[in-house]
Amino acid sequence: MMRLPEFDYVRAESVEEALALLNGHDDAMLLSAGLSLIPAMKLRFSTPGLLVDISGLTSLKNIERLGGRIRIGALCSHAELIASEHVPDLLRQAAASIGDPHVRNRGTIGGNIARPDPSADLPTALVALEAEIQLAGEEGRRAVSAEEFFLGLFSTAMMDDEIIIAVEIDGARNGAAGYEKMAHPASGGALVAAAVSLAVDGGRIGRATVAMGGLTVTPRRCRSVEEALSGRLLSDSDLSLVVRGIRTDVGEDMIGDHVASEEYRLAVAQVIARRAVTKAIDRM
Amino acid sequence: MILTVAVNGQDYSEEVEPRLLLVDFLRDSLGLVGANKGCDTSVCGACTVIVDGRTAKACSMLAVQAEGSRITTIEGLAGNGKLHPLQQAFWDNHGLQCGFCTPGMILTAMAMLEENPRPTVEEIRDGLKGNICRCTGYEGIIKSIQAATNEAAGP
Repeated sequence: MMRLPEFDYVRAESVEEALALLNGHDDAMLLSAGLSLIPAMKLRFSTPGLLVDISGLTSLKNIERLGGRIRIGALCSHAELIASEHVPDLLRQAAASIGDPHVRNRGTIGGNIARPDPSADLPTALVALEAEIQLAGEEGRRAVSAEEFFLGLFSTAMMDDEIIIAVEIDGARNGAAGYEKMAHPASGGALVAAAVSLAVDGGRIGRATVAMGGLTVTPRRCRSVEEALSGRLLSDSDLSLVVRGIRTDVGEDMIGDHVASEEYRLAVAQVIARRAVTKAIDRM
Repeated sequence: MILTVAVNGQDYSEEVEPRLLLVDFLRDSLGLVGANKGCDTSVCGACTVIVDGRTAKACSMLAVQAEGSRITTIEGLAGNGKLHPLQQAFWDNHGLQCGFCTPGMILTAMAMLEENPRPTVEEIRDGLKGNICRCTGYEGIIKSIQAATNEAAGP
C-alpha cells in the first residue's frame, strides 16, 4: 500500500482563515472529505506541503432558496443533495449516480468540482443546468459560469488562493431532467454521461440544454443536439438523428483511454444521450 | 499531532503524523486488523469502517480527519461472548468464503439497516455497491443481510 509523503495539516476554523492559509503557503491545498485528493496524493499526482482541512466550516453546508435561485454550499455532501427538495432533479440524479454509498455520504459538491476529471458526474450536470460557481478569495467574491469554470484535467478557473463557496442554479431550471451514464464497473465513475434538461411548451420540447461527460476532457455543451431537440414533439421517439449532433459538438477534442477508446465512447454516447432524453420526457 | 478518538467505545489519545491513513492507524497503532487493505484506491470497500454513524473508506481518509469522532470497527460488534445479529446471520447463511471483504460488508450492512430496516434485494445490492467480493457472487451476503433483517423485525 502506498504511504503518503509528509505534509503539514491544519484545521481551518473559518473561510477567512482558510484563505489566509492558502495565501500564506505556495503549496497549500484544501481538504474536505479527501476522496479525490488522498488517492491523488498516494499516486503523487498532488503533493501539497500543507493540507487545510475545511470540513468543519458549517457556513458552507447550507442548501437554500434565495429569491429565484438555489444556493448549494460547497461542503454539502452528495447524500444531502439527493435528500434536498430544493436541489434541481438533474443534479440530484447525477449525485445519486456517484460511486457508492460510502462516497456519497462523505464526498462534497465542492470536492467533486474542484479537481474535475472526465469521469466526474456533477460537472456535467452543472454545465447542463447553466450553474454558477461562487468563489471567494482574499480580494472578495466572484462567480464563474460552470461552462467557463471547467478548464481541463484537474484544472478549473479557481485560483490557488481561492475557495469554492457555493454553487448557484436558477430556480426555474427544474424542468424535465435526465442524467444517464455508462459507469466504470469498479469506481462507478462515468465513462460516458449525458445530462439533459428540457423545458416543455405544449406538447413540444421548448428550450433544451444538453451536456456530455466522458467524451472530452471537460463537460461539453452539445448545442447541435439542443437545436435538434428544441421544437420536437414529445411523442416523437426516434432520437437517432438528434444525437448525431454529438459528433459535431465534440469535434477534434475526443478523448479515449485503455478502458474506452474514442470510437467506443462516441458510439456509447449515442445510446446514453437517447436514454437521457427519454428519461427526461418520462419524468415530466 | 495528538489524535483524540473513540474506537469501539474506548477513548484513545495518540501521537500521529498527519499523513497516517485511518486504516493504518486502526491496524498498526491500535492492532484492530479487521479493516483490510484491498485495492488502495478507494473502490473495493474492504477497509470500510463506521465514523460518526456513516460508513467511511479508511484507506482514503487521514486518521486526523477522525479527530473527535466515534469509530466502529468489526471488532466492536460482538459483546458478552455473543456475536452481533449480523455476524450471526453471516455465519448461519454462509455469507463469506475467504472473509476478506466481510468486515466491510457487515459494517456497511449495519449502517444500511440503521437507515432502512427492511431493504428490498435491490436496495441491498445498491447499498453494497461500495463493497466488492471476489468469492461469493454476493448471493450468500444478500441472504445473510435479509436473514438479519428478518431476525430484527421479529416473527
